[in-house]
Amino acid sequence: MSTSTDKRNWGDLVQAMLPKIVVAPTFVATLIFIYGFILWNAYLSFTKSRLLPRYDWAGTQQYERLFANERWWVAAENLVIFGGLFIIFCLIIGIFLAILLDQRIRAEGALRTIYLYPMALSFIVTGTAWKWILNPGLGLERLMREWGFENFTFDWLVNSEMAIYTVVIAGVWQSSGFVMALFLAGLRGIDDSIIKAAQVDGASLPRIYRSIIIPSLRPVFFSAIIILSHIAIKSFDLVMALTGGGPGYASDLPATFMYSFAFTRGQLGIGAASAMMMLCAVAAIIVPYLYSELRSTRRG
Amino acid sequence: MSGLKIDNIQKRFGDVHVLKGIDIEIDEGDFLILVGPSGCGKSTLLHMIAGLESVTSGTISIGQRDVTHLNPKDRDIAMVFQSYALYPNMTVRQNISFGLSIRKVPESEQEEIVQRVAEMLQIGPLLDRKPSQLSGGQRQRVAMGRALARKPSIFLFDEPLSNLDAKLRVEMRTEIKELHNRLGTTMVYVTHDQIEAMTLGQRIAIMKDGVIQQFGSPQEIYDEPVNQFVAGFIGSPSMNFIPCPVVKQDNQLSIELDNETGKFYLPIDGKNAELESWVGKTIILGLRPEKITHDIASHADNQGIHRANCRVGIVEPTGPDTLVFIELNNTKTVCRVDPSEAKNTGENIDLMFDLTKAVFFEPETGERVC
Repeated sequence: MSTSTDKRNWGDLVQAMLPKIVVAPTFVATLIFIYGFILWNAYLSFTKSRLLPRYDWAGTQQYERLFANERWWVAAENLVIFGGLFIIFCLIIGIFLAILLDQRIRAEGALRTIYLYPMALSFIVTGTAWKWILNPGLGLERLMREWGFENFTFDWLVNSEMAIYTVVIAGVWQSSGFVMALFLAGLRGIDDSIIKAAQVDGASLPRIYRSIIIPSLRPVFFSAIIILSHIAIKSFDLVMALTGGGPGYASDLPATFMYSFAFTRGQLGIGAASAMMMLCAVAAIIVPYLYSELRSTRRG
Repeated sequence: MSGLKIDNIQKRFGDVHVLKGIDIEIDEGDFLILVGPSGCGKSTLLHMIAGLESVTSGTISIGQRDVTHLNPKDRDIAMVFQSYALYPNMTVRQNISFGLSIRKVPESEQEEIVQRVAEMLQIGPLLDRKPSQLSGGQRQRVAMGRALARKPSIFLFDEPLSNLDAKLRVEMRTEIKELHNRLGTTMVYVTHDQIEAMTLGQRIAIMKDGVIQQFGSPQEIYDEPVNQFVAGFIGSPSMNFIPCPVVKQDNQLSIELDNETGKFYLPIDGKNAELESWVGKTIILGLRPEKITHDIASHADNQGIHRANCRVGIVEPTGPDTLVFIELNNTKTVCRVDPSEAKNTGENIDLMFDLTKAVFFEPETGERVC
């Protein structure tokens, strides 16, 4: 009698613990390899580490060197240009496509897949493809010249003033379909009769979208901007594949800056400091988002 | 003049013939109800009046103006939707004044109108709230307020009460009727609820499968339904349809009814001419539940009143009346009996049949015979 109760208790205990047991390894791995390494990196950024980690405290010396570095400021400025344009164009194109697709058109499913498909590619593939397309000797420029437009020039990829804009083009191409999908879902959630009511009220279709539908998609804007901005800040592979940060370091972003200082130029300390700056930027965006999300779920 | 005239309207969606030639004409200030079961085309017809749905053929006129191909905004209409369709991003005030600001009404005047409407519907304290902060009944009021703001020549209502709970629905129904009395504006109201139709309507159009079955006043439709569908649709509990043989009994045209207590015959007065040819055949008798009652002594001598003793089946008390189910010719028949006179299941009850308002239908087509 007592043994069977014991057995049942053991079974119950295992059953109750099972989810925790299953999750534990992942939890430990996350704790060490993400949060542990963030802390390690934070510490490294306050040391004199160069090629290899050293643990002697150096105060904010690495940050001072970072802020004195012209290349860092190029990367930061590029991030502002890239991030700003990337988010704005993704939103504009995404909303526009979503509104067009929302007009109950034929073959909507196929079109939606076509626009969403770039999302399925890795940024490396996107970057490589656009590198070929934008390469003056190989892609668009050569094609136009062979068609007879002898003076056609499109050399942004090799122009140090314009190189960062090619990254914007490729990034927008890849991500605007995703924004479209977000907004399409939002538009589908809007009651059809709201549009009808506005028509009876006398509003034209553009006015209906401007005054009623787009303002009521505010939560979608919020999610889209959060997602796009963290893509922008951590952008690394796209730049690596497309321009390699070049010409020179004209299209460097903080992520490529960090990589080249920490791993190719033996300046681990500066690399760690720049990584901390990126972490701060992401946190500045994500923390308010998480805060509002968690608050609303607790309320709801 | 802002009556409504619908002339031979047809609507097809591809191969589906939704409306098969609708003709309706009402005067200014009338309250028209479009009623019918789901899928009868009543909402489509309303949307066509609003201009939200294109017309395949036929014409719609509001007042003397042909509006068949005008945009909704040029038709001088206002509409209340089933889902309320409030603009979620705007406050109640903005919801009400949106149509006005599009029509470039000056702001001071807009504010005046908002106040007037808010007062009429008692939504003053809600003006600065968002629709998501309102209850169902409050949203309903705001939706009506938005329609009222513009003083249109016709109000359209698309099942406005069907999302409310039962009690609120009855209250709003009364309010809509009061509103109509006060404003005197033409109203068109779509519902699937026959009680709403009866209580609100001055003119009722009963639709089925894209065809108007009957168009008339509530009492006309209740008393003189043109076919079995209309008779069964209007009235709750619905009319009893009892198939019964027509016989000559004691030289008097009668219908034969069979209950567990035995056969009995009810003589038909007044409709002999129409029913003469039916002798020996079976006809459908349509008799409303309130025409089969307990034995009321004071009615006994009235014309067309007959008594019979029947076995009680199920009994359903409703409060003011008790519904007693009996079997007549193997058909379940409802009788409306005073609660104090009702008997229990299995007992016998003396019932009084009032055939003065009885109607007769053809068994196959369901068309009215007389």
